[in-house]
Amino acid sequence: MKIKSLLLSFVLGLTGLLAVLGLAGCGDTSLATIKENYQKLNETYAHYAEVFKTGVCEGLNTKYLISYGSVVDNYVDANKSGYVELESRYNMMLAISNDYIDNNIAYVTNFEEKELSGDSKSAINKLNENLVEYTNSISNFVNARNSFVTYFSEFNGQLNEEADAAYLRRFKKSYGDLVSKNINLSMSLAKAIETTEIFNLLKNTEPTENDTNIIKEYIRAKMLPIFSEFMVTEIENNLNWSATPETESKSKIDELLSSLSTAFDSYKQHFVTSNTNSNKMTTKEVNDLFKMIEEFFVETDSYYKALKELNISTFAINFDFDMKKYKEQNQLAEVYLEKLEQFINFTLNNFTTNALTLLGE
Amino acid sequence: MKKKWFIAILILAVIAVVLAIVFINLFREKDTKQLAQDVHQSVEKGYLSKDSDEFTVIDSYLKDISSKLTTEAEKSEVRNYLDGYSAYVVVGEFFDRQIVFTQFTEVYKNNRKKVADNLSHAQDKADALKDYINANKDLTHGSDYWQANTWANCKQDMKDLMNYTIQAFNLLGDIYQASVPSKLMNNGLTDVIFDEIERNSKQILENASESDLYGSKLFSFVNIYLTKSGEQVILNYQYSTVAKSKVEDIKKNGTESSYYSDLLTGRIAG
Repeated sequence: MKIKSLLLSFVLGLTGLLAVLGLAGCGDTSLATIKENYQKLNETYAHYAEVFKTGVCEGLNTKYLISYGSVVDNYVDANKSGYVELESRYNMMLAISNDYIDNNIAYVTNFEEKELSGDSKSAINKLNENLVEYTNSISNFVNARNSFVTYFSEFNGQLNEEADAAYLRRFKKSYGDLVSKNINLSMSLAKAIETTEIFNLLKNTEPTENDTNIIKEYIRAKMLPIFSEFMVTEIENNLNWSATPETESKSKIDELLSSLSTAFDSYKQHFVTSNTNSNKMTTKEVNDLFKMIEEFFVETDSYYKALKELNISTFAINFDFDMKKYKEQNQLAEVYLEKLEQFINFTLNNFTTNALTLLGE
Repeated sequence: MKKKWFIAILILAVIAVVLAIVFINLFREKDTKQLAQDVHQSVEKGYLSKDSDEFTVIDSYLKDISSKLTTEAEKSEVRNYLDGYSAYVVVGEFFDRQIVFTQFTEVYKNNRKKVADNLSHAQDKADALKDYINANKDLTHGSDYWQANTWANCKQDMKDLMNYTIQAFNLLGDIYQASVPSKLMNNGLTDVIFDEIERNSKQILENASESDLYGSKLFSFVNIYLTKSGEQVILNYQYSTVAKSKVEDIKKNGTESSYYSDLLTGRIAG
C-alpha cells in the first residue's frame, strides 16, 4: 500500500511537472501561427501608416521610410551631425532588415509542418518569439517618435541645443531598440532558413542570376548585426557618448566606430544600393562562397562575444574609460578590445573584398 | 493520512530539485574564461610579460653572460635560452589574445589544469632564477668572474623554465586546435605553425648546446605569424589557394617540402 502511494505520488509529480513545462511554452509553434503573427505585424504597420511610409531611403526603395517632422527632416537632408544618422543608419538598418523579412518569410511559412526537422522547429519557435516581441515594440517607438516630432514642431528655436540633443538621444534610444528587435527578427528568420534544404539546393544545382541575388541578400542580412550591435545597440542605446570622459581607450573605441561607419557605407554601396547586374556564378564559386560565408560568420561570434564581454557602457559609466581600473574587475578587457580592432580593421574588410570578388562585383 | 501526504510532498520536492539540477547542468553555458585568465596572468604580470622583473632580470643576465662563458657549448645553450624565452613571450601573447574565444571541449576540459600547473611551475623557476641572479649580483657587484661562474647554478632552473613553458604551450596548441571554432583563426596554417614551434622547442630542450640557431629561428618564426600584425597572415589563409596548396605539401613532406622555406620566411601566400 505504501509503495503504491509512493509510486502514485511520483507519477503525479512528474505529470504535473510536464504539464507546467508544456504550459510554459515548450511545445512547438505551428507555421500557421507564424503566418498569423506576421499578418498582425503588417496590420500594426498599416495602423501606423502615417509613420511607416513608402519611399526611398538612401537609394533603397522601402515601405518603412520614417519622417521626423519638417524641422528634423531638414536637419537630416542637410546632413546635420547627430541627425543625419536617423536616416543613414537607423532607417537604413530598419529598411534592410525588413526587406529581408518581407522577401523571405513566405519561404518558411509555405513548408509542410511534417517536413520540418527538429532544428527547423526550434528555429521557428524562436522566430515566432521575436516576431511577437518586435510587433509589440512598434507602438512604443511610434509614441517616442510622435513626442520627438511634437517637441521640434512646438519648441524649435526656443530651447537650446542641449535640450534638442537630449530629446534626440531619448528618441534614438527608442529607435535603436526598434532596430535591434527588428534585426533579431531577421536573424531568427535567417536561422530558420539555414535549417532548410535551400542552401544545399543552391550548392548542388546549376546556378542562375537569381541564385546570386538570393546569396547576396542572405549575406546582406547576416552582416547587418555586425554594424547594429556596436553602433546602435551597444553605444547609442546605452550611452550619452559625447558626455563620457576622453581617455586613450575611448579614443580607440572612437576610431573603431569611425572605421565601422566607413565599413557600413561600403556595405551599403556594394550590398544594398549597388546597380550592378547580378553575375551568374559557377557551381564551384557558389560552394566556395558558402564556405567563405560559413567561416566568416563563425569568426563573427568571437566579435559579438568580445563586444558583449568588453561591456562598453560599464566601462564608460562605472570606470570612466580608465582601462587600468577596469581591468581590476574585467581582467580580459584589453583582449576583447584587441579582438574588436582585429575584426573591424582587418577581418571584415577581408571577407567583404573576397565575397564581392566571387559575386562578380 | 497526514503522514502519507507529507511523504508525497517530500518526494515531489526531491524530484523537483533533481530535475532542476539536471536542467541547470544541461543548459549551463560553459565558458573558457578560467584558462584565459590563467594565461593572461602569466602574460600580463608574470614571467611571460616583457615588463616583468623575471623577464628583465633573466634576459639581461643571459645577454651579459652569453659572450663571457668559456665553452662554445655553454654559449650556444645560453643564446638558445635567451632567444627562446623572448619567443615564448610572443607565443604567450598570441594565446592570451585567442584562448578566451575557444569553446569548452573535452580537450579543453582535460588540459586546462595541466596548462595552469605548467605555467605555475615555470613561474616558480623564473622567480628562483630572478632571486638568485639579483642576490649574487649584489654580492659580487656584477663582476665578469661572477657572471661566467654562476651559469652552472642557473642552468637547471633555466632548462626547467623552458621545459614547463614548452609543455604549457604544447597543451595550449592542442586545446587551440581542438577548440577554436573559427576556421579563419584555426586552420591548416596554424597547424603547421604549431608543429614548427614544437619542433624548434624540442631542439632547444634536447640540443641547446650543439647549435645556437634554434632559439633565434624560433624567435624569427613566431614574430612572422603570432604577433598582432602577423595574425593577418593566418586570417588571409582561407582565402588563398596558393597558401593552402603550399601548406598541404608541407603537411605531407615536412621539412623536405620545397615550400618549407616559404613557411619559415613568411612567404606562404606568395
